[in-house]
Amino acid sequence: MTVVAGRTVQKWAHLVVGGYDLTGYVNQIGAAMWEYDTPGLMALDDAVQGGLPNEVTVSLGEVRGIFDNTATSGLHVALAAGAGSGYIITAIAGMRATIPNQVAYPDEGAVGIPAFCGRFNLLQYRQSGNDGILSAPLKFGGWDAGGLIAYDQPWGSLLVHDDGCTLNAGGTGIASGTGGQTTKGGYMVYHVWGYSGIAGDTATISVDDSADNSSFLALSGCTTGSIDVSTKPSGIVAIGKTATVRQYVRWQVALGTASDVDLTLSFIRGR
Amino acid sequence: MALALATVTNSIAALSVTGLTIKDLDEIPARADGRQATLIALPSFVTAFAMERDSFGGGSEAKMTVSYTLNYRLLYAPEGQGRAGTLENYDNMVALVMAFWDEVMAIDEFSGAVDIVPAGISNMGLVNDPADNQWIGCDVALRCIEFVN
Repeated sequence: MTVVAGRTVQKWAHLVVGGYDLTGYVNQIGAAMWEYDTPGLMALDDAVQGGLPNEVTVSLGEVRGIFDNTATSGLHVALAAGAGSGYIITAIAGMRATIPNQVAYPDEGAVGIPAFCGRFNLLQYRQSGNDGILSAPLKFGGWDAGGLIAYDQPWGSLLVHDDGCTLNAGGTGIASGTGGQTTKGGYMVYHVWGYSGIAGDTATISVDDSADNSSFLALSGCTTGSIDVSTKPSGIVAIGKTATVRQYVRWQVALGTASDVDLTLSFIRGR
Repeated sequence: MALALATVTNSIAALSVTGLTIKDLDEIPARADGRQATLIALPSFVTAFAMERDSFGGGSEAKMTVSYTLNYRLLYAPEGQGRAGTLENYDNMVALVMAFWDEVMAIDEFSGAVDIVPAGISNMGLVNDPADNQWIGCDVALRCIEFVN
């Protein structure tokens, strides 16, 4: 099933936090905020108050989690020790189709779903029993100042959220953004939430771009390099603010010693 | 995007539940087959129809969310079938209802509707088939959500 254009419901949302796919452990993603402050720039005799957008606040807000201690993947295991830390987060607004089965892998591994991405501080991990079940509300703050990047927008396009990813040899991409080629860079956000192999196995996660959605080349600098995929790595890789990104982008994996990876990868085109 | 009730009922009929024959809206038998458990539409098939306007605009433009309940009757076995009568089939009937719900709750994508969830069970016990014969069975209801435009 392909991506459906239009509205969607909570059923198809996904949340990936710090290399953990927590979709099955949360039931609400708090207000994903992208807001600029507007310091007053008006003279005393100006007729109308106004301002210019200044610095941006990006934050994920509160996530309603379900208290669950499933080993290696549950919410408690993933986050209980993490309050006060910054987490790479991808909140996927799935468009009325199941991910990852909505597209045939690997030919159409690029899905183009809106994804809210960033590195946010986990301010509070709280276990609560007020709802009848034991819940675990999570409060995320603004972007982690320990990991600032040169881009001020959190919304991008999901390129893949799938298990068993290997070399994307013939996959097509998606035209991220609203137009064609841009020269304002961008950044990718990745999570490797599983792999096939043994501890210490490696792979390289990257983004390819293309002018015609057929002939792809590696997007220069938009790569993790070889990383240990056995430790649920996640991260942000930003390219230069003036880098050229051709119209179409797709995900790419170059396997090192790992046999495959379970990957969530998004790309946010600079503007 | 128009309402897609026919697609929804087709999708329900296409669910695979071991031991249960699910009839589409145009397949309701005049008399249920006593050799198999059958799920058929009730005469009061669509109930609790509601439309919520989600945006500005006229009918051709406004985004609307439509929800409704579809009511089905499970006919498990004719009354008196088996040596011990009704009670002999009761546990198997309950198990089949739960198997049906398992199938519904496991739906990821559902052609025709944005979402479909169990909405209730009622009249568990003796129910009538279209020919007014008594069966052991129950009524089940499914809540559907569709987007319009």
